[in-house]
Amino acid sequence: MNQIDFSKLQSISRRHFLLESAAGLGAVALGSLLGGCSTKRNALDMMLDPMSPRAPHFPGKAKSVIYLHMAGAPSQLELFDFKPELNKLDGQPCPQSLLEGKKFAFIRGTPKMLGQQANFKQRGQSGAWVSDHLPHFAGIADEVSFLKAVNTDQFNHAPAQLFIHSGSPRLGRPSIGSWATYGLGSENANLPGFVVLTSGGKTPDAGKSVWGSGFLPSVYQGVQCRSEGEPVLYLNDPEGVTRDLKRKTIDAINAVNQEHYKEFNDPETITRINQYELAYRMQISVPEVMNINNEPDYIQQLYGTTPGKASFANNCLLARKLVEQGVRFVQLFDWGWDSHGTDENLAIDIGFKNKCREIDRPMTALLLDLKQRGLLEQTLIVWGGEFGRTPMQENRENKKMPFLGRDHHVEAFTMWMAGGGIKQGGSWGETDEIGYAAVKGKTSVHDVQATILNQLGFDHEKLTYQFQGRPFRLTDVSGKVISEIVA
Amino acid sequence: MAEFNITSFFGRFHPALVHLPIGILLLAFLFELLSKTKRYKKLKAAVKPALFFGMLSAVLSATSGYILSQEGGYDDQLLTQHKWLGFATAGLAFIVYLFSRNSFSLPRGDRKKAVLILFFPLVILVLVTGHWGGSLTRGEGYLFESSLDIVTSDKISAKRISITNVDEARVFGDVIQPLLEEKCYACHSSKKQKGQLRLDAIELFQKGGKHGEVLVAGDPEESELFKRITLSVEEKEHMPPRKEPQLTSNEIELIRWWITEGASFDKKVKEFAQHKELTMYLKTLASGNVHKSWVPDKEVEAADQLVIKELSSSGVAVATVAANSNYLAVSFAGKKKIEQRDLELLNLLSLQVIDLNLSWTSVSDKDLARIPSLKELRVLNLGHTAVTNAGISVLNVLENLFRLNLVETKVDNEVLKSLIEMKALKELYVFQTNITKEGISTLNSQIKIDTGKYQLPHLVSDTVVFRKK
Repeated sequence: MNQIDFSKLQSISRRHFLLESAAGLGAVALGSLLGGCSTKRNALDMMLDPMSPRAPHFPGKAKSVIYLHMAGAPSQLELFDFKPELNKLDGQPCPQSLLEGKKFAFIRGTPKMLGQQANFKQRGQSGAWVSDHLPHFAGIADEVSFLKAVNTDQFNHAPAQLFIHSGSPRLGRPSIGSWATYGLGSENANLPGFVVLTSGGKTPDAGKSVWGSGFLPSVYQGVQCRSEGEPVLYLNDPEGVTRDLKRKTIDAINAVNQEHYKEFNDPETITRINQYELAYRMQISVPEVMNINNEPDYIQQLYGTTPGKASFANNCLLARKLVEQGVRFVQLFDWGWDSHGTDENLAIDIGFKNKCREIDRPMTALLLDLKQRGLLEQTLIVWGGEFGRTPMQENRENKKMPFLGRDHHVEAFTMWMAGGGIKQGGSWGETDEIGYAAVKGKTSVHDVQATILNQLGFDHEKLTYQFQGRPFRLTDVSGKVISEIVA
Repeated sequence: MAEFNITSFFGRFHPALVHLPIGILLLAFLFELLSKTKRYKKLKAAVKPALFFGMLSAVLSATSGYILSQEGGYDDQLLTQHKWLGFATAGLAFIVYLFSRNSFSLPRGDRKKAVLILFFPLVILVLVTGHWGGSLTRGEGYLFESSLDIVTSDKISAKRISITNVDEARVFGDVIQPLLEEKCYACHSSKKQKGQLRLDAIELFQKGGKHGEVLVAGDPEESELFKRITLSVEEKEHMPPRKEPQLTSNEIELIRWWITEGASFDKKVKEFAQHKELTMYLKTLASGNVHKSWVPDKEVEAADQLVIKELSSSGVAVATVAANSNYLAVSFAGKKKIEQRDLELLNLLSLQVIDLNLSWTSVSDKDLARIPSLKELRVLNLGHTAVTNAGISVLNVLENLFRLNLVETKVDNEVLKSLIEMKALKELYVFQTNITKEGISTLNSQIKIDTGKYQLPHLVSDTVVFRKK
């Protein structure tokens, strides 16, 4: 019996008891005897110390994950999916066959096709197509594997973001970072196992639920750190309170909570005790790791940081620092990628190019910096949005838009992964000649999630949590590891 | 680890339990017959208890068999027959037992007759059920198959040969067969013969299964085997069954290639028409990068829990590398000060530790002297510590170490001399040290040494802000 089973036992009800009794009470006794023989780490330890390091199902290639989410959904057609045929069709009305039976967020009537607003070249030995919008990233195309036909079934931001982070478009499921820390615990007892960094500006449409812990104990939820001002709000001691006094306070509160736990056995009480302890340790460790000013100039230049401000570049550098200290899952959210063409910033030929510039150097630097520190082998980097963008130009309310833009597109979009046992220079999936739908190697959001868990050493079908009388998992009832991009 | 289930655990006892009713019921029958003779008249008394235990073991066998059948993986038709025969045997044994203890209040003579008459169908049922059970696990026709056949048939070697030279590798023996072994043999080999198909001997492979041949040399689309593996997973006919590990698209392409090229059982890769993508894939297979785990194959005893506990409570992260492994990964992340006690404890885990992270700690050259006892160490991270050449030089006895991180340490080119002696070392990270590219160039070594210092050029586009024209 593994540790995770213990929490399942907690949820065993009278109904379960009657069901299980079918095999006889003798069998139950044998079961508990065998359970007692287990040489693995005691399940009780996991209850009392939910962040204790634990083994995955099989030896994983990756120890940590850095997930770069471009909220708003960047256009695959201006970055990675080169479609010369689409350029020939520029300005022509979209064939009805592509519109029948489809739903779009904003496109109405018959939109016009929109040629690619970027120049493409093949890069490196792998010959991966990367547009000129990402000049730095183009240089490391051989390090990554592209998934060019990822498919989702949600065409609005919030549900699509929830889907890609929690495996369900509805609220209430744990996010992938929560699953990872639930499965592996944390390597560093002084830092949270799951850290979230946002680039400032807008937070993701789906709100904090995209890093929530759902029905998992809330100790596994993402801890949002700010790259500007105090990294974690209200972590500092108030004036006049010494660290000793703080220690005494926490000891007293924890003693009360322990009593409470003995009485009611609610795991959330354990979570609370752990949060106090972690916060106390974090008072020392967090300001240190979250301070990018100590980094040498050439590192700052490599990433293109702007110390003291919230930026994607700063967050990339922070992500490296966190992973270096044993943080399990670092989730970055960037924003402003929703290129509808409604204003200058959301124009596919203006604002979009500025967004590309903002991420190009930092994400390239992150990969190179992890590589030179020997961390890329054991750190999985995932890049993507919540869906893709249409090959058609958006025509909101069937009117001409002030700027060029593309609508939300669920059929096929590009993501990439690197490090952590992912193939170098790999690519899987192809779209048709205008980049509308997958023709080969179609992968689902659950496939991507299954692959991430696989790199950490988990069988996505077995990493489950008993809730409401049935086991739940990140990939719901589907998902297949994309072995084509696994080295 | 799969969930432990007491019910299916009981099912696993079926193969052992089934022998009991066969033996005991036949013995009861023997007693019954012998008791008719004068000499063994006294055996009459033994019939009833023998029947009781025979009946009991038959019921247990039938129950455990039913549970085992829920796991699937057997020929459906055979299984159904065996299952109902099994139930019938248990039921009849029960009835005979009731007669023998006179539960139906029959006159003595009638009762004796009834028991004797019912004994015959019972014995037949026991034998037939047993035979079908044997057919299920050994394969139909096992009984009459000449035992010579099995030995002389061209049994395909199940031993996986590691591919060293792609061109010289045998397409079937070294490439196709290992993947069939992994994904198909559980049901189509000497272990089980679902659909009466065996893929582990060339003759039997060519012979095909219940529905005829499975291979049409040169035409994958017409080959039943290829059709089945490329059917939609949702289809019932799809192989491997939906719940089992599936063939990857690369593996399917390899099988297509093998069949297209004539489904030869002895040709080598170089004799086949070359296929760029597949050759690439074969090369990665050859390099051992596919599915190869860095964890040692050999088993090791579990580490002392008390040692692990003490290390954990001093702030060191210790966990096995996988749920079914005893090998350990140890990380001092978050614990800056290394104490002597930590190192002593670590030495008690010398058989198990294969991954050690000491980066950003106070580890000194003196502390490193204790590391060579960790003979199994594969991955060692000493980055951002004060270790020097002297400390590192003692590590060259670690003959399994393949990844060493010395980023931002005090080592210089001198240390390389001792490091190249390490047989397994493949990756060395020396960013922010005094090791130079020139120093590395003097070595003739296969080790991948990363000196880092990556820079990104300053491009004009880095500062261009696009605005509305």
